[in-house]
Amino acid sequence: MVGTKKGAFILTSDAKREVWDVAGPHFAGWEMYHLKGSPVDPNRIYASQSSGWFGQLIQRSDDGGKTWNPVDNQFVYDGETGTHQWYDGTPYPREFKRVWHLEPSLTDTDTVSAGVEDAALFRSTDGGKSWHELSGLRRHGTSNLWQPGAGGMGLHTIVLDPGNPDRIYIAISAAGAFRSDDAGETWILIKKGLRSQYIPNPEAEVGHCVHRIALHPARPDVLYMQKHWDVMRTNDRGDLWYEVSGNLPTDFGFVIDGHAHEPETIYVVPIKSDSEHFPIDGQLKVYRSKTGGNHWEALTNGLPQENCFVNVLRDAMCVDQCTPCGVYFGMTGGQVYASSDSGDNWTAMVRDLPAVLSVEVQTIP
Amino acid sequence: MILVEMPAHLRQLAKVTGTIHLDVVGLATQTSVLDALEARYPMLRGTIRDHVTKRRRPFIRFFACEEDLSHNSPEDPLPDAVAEGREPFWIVGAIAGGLRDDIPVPYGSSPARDKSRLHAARPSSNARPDR
Repeated sequence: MVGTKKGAFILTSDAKREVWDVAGPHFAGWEMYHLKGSPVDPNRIYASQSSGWFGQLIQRSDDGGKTWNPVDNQFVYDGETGTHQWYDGTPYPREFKRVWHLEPSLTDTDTVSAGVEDAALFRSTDGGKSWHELSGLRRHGTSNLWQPGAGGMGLHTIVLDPGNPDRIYIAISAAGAFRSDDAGETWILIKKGLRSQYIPNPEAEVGHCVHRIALHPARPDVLYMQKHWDVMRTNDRGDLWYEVSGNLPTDFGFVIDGHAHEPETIYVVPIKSDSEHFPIDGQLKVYRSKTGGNHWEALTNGLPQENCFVNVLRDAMCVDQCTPCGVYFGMTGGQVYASSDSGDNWTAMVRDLPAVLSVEVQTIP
Repeated sequence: MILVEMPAHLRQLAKVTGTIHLDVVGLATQTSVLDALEARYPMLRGTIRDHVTKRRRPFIRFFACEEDLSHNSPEDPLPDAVAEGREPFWIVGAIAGGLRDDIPVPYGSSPARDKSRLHAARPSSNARPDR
């Protein structure tokens, strides 16, 4: 499932993952920030549909994406909305803008969480027919200091712990990463070990621009983070992070994800810098570590090694559950690449879509 | 009977084609027309005006009888020709440009915002409702 700036596309293949059928665009002309299927019922898919003209919609499919129906699109902050910090340091009223990320429950088809801009976490327990805010996050003592990143102050990452239904991780640009151990009632900043040279105090409480967090279900206490700069790891649910950028040629980037069957195998796509959002020297390289970080190998077979000057956004990488594991990512130039052998070889599933905002995969028996 | 014209995206969302014919109870105003429209097509709620405040979304404009009614009070009577069903009430997507909060930017890939580049939505004398 590929969300783009001008619609959604559903790419389908058999277990060989060699030939892909491309269906779409669904919701042509709309920004499709994210589509994700329920792990409980793959026919249930939630999609975030957005437009600068017409605002936010949430679409739901109950037949694997063949047909869609809009559900509730009313995201109202709970109580006083308060302020966050504007770019000039002044307080700025919070206002709902759009849904960046949808995270269906691991156990209930009708329960889905939504990460929104301005940063807040919402949840529906009726299949999207109504939404309520988990306002404990926005009531965190630091929330008036949260500041938008270049793309807005979005809550873009929601990670559910498969071993503990009460544990949730979220990340906000550019506030940082948070953990709840009580199903979203209260939250703690998980920032110890993070250093960000681009903010006045590199070890500040808030302001770390976390781009993405990944967790492996077999080892849920271990998290990986692609920060603005730095690839980080924690072995204790975020209590302490340490850097695992190792031999990466640049540790700036947006995506990070883990192999479906190997908890120590992770993938990133290094991007040259925060001002040059494209691969170094125009050579697209996925980097894989089989040691949980620090030791990285470049994967290039099938990827363009010249004149590639497009980006990979934070929600645009995923892995399937097949053996060998499939890895997928999409680019702002409209290309979606797939590897059906854990990253050793790559092919372009499709090349000329609108700019890709998100890529998710379902492995259907 | 009130005639309503909508942009293609909203027609697709509401799964309608062409002009919408609405029965509006009482005085025909922006509010009463939009209330009737949203009652018949609930999926349009929030796409034309805010759910709670009922304020027109920034890049939506209202036209009728070759006039821009966007800044009129939502409770003002619509022109007689609209109230009598001789002219449609147009809901139009504004022609808009520049970088501002209402324009989505691909997250993580946009240039740093520069407030000097924030432009207001252009009230679109050039807006051409697409049919």
